[in-house]
Amino acid sequence: MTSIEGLSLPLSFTEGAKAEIDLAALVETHARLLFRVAHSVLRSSAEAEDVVQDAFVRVLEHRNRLNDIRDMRVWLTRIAWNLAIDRRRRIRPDQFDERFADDLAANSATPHEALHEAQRIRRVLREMERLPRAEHHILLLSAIEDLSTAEIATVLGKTESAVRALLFRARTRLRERLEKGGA
Amino acid sequence: MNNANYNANDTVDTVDRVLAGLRDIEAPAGIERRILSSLQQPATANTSSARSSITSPLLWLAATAATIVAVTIWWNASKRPTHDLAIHPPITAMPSAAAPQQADVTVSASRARKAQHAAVATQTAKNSQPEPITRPVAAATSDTLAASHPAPPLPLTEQEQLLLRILHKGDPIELASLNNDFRDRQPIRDAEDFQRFFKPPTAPHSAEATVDDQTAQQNQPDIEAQPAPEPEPNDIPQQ
Repeated sequence: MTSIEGLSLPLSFTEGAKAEIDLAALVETHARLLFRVAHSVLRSSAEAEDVVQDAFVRVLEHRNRLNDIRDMRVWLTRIAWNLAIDRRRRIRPDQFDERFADDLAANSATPHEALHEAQRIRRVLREMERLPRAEHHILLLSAIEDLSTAEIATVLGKTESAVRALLFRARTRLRERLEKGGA
Repeated sequence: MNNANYNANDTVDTVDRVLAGLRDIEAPAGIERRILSSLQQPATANTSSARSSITSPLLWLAATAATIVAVTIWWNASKRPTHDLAIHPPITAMPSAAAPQQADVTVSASRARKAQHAAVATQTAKNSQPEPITRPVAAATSDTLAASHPAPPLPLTEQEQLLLRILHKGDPIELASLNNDFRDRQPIRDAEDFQRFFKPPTAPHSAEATVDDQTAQQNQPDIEAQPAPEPEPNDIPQQ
């Protein structure tokens, strides 16, 4: 049983269960991935952390059926993704875009370039929000390199070919809109 | 934003940079510990939720009962003055010209109020017979809970007193007129009263006074023809 600084939560199944899953190990292994997934949707660290916590609460609620789960990583990612999408309806992610853009543009050489870069990043984020829903989701999940195309397809309930096609269309549409708006 | 500088390469670079920023975002330090700490509380949360599921119906029941009691008290408090006002319509002061009508209205209102009080008292007595203990309490609180009565009627004006005198029946004088002896003596008494006021003084007269008296007697033969009654000692005016 793995523990994090003294904290350990053995997930004992019913009395007939053969295996025992350590929740602390699950948290240690997947928390950061789930955080990135949630953050790609919400663009807020606090909101993303709440989503990760809610995801593991769901794990506790379904602890009796964990043996039936083949891929824990995809399953957890799907839970976090759905929770983040649900939370996104209650908050406005664009209110966090300014800080996110400033953080990304902070590495620029000069303050003037940083300001210019932050404006362009905010425009990209705004255009990403205006993409069709499926293309938007594919683009966000593809940004997380930890997830393969097959895992993205499983999370979104689509085929791998559909994921590739949607990803291609999303990039093309986003580039066209940015060039059209910038011309 | 300078649109001329926003070419295709910049667009792709910016998109890649945004996606890289989403990918490389670092989770806050200690996120695992915070998550595990929060996950250790569901057991107590479930217990508290079960306790709240038990106590919440009781709280709802108590709140509902309190609301019903408050509404009942408010309903009784708001209904009582309206009922009393309906029984005792307000009587306002009226000018003296309408005083007789006011008197009639006052008398009729007071009679109606007395009749209503009598009916209520009878009904109360009938209803309170099984509970004699609460009767003193009800009698003591009835005055405090009853609506204020109208002001007493104004004193009668002269016109009202005259009307009452005209309409008054059974005066002692009228009853005395039924006596024959009294009725027979009445003309004599009236004549005596007349002579008491119009009889000439009995003092010694001078010559001029005698001439004047004779002239006056010639001008008033009717009075002289009547026999002058003997003046009573008490009727002689003092000089």
